[in-house]
Amino acid sequence: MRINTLESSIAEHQPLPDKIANFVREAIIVGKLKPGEKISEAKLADELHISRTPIREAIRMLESEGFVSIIPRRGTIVSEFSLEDLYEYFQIKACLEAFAAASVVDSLSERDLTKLKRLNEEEMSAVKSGDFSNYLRIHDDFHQTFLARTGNRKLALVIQQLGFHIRRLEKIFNDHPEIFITCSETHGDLITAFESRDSNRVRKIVEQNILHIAENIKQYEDGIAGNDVT
Amino acid sequence: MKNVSSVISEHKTLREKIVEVLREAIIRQKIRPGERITELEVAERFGISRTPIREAFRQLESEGFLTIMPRKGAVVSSIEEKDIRDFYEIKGVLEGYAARQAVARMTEKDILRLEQFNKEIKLCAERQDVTGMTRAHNAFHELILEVCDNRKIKQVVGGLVRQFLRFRFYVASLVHVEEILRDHTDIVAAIRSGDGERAEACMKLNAQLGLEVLLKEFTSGTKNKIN
Repeated sequence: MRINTLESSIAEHQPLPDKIANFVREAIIVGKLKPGEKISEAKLADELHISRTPIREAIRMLESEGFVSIIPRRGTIVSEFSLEDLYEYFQIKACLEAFAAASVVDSLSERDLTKLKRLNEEEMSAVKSGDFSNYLRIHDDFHQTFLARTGNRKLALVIQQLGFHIRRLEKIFNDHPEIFITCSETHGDLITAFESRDSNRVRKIVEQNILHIAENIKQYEDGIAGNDVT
Repeated sequence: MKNVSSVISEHKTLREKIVEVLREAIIRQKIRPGERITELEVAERFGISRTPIREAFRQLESEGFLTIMPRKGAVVSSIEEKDIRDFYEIKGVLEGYAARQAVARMTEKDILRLEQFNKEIKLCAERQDVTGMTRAHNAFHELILEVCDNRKIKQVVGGLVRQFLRFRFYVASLVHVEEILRDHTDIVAAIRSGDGERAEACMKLNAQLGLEVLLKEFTSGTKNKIN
């Protein structure tokens, strides 16, 4: 595991445990740390030249998010995850994000809508040019733009955390760009529904889009198994 | 904090007893947000050693009641109105969803267990056993989360509840037990009749009850003394 990314992020204003959690979570998401692999507090403390207290706190955060399991006498290991687990995270995300999107309908400004349209165009062209890593960044920005308008920061945070789990599928998504096309098209419909301030329609679009992706990933089980994820 | 020894039962550990007394004192605003309490003060008051008090402080910190300051003792944490609103909003959405999903999967045995938890809530309320009541209350909500066709939802709600554990104790302590039981009975009835939408609506109303009680406590309670 490399630590220079962490050192560079330390400059940002964030509590140390959060930074460590972000760093370890990212390593899990991108597969640098594999399911079942042991995470040693002592080794992390040694590598990062920090005390074990913030590391322990970070590990506890990741445990409550479901990324690691703390097993007595064995220590901390990266949680295994199954397609079923991810499907369940999708369901919860669909439920919460649909609620959040519907609740911001009246608070989105003209500037927000303009930004959403610009991002939607950008994601369309990223899909066309096959620039998937850029696509995912823009896609995320699109969601954050309307989630930022919910007065409930905790809700936005929970939705973001659920998104972390789903990112473990990124490699699979890259092999199936049709998902990106469907998503971008749906974002266009969503903007129209936002513009007409139709909260029921917003709720339906968001919910159905997420569940649609969830149904789709069920077909990619082989791909997931091939990636050593069981 | 006077008639403590007569109120609490014999079989609890010293730490548990101290936790209950302090928790109740905070909920009843006999000790107020921002107020400082020290181990020494509590030790002298009860005539006991500081070790169980330190443990009690730590438990109350993990429940969100206290913030421990090194060398300075502990300060009663304040409650932000925003936190109350945000927490109950998410809880209502997730638990409502879980209740709707759980309806089709509930067995007769599950439903009987829900009813049993409601009986326990009532019994504990009669004995003024807030801890027992909170435990039965949690068990009722957790069973619904467990039965629903999504194992991760319990983890997500659990993570949230842990951060706001304090609210649970307020609800158990301040809400009339009749109101809780009314909501819970409605939820069980909706589940029994197989009506998912009604189960969801009832569950959201239950979250609303917690919200209203805490808001009332927060907005009036910080200015005027309760009782």
